[in-house]
Amino acid sequence: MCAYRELVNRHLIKGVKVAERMLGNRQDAEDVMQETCLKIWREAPRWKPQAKFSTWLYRVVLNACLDRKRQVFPAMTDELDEVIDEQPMAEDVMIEKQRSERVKSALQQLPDRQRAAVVLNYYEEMSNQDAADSMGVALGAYQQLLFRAKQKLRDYLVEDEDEAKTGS
Amino acid sequence: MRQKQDHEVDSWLAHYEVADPDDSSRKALLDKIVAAASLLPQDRPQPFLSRLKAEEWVQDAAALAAVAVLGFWIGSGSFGMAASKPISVPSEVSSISSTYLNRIIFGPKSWKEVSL
Repeated sequence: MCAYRELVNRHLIKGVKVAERMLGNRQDAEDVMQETCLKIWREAPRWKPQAKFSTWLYRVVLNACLDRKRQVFPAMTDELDEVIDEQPMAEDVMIEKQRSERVKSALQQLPDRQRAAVVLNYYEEMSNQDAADSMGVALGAYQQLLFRAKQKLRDYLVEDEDEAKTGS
Repeated sequence: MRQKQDHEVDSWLAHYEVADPDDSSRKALLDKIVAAASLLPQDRPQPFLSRLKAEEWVQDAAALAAVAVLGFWIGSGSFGMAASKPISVPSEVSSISSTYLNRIIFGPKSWKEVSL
């Protein structure tokens, strides 16, 4: 159990962050990470070290995220519990926060597998092969997913920004 | 052109920050996970042979092999030859066996017939 605790501790933050980028909120991400770690605990005796442990971990996290997205939950808005901050925010901080929300929203609009491709490639800085292995797809298929994801993100983010600037 | 477009997308993606969990919430989550795991049994690995038997492809291969052997046997005529050949029992053997059967069912006719 000590070894298990150490293993979970080592990968906990990464797993939560990947799940949060996939699902869009921290609470769901923590739930998914818990499910993932319990699955790893149950299946550990059967795991064969044919690939890196992190590849297996990411695959379980992504599958758990996709399963969660398919489930129908009552709408739980974070805003209900959010304490309204009445302190005035510096303009640059506000702009940065808006951009962050915009990217988050754009990512959530992507199909799940395209989002996963971007998260693994950009945020986790995985090689294309490692990312493809984590997603359980061929390298060519992964590259296609990434290409299409970036095209869509460009449409959501870059071209919308240009239109906003030109006023069209 | 494509590299420039990728660079633009990447620069946007850099704006999306996901904060690390703070130490207290990280520890709380870790404790919760370990506590839950301690209540769960681990799946025992199956022995190699039972895993092999459970593999569908092994069963399919064995069935195919059996069909292939049977097909070859039928096709080569060996089955036909074996089936068409009548089983003939020599007359001596059939009379001895009927004598023994009679002794068993009806019993010996005299002490002389009682032989072990």
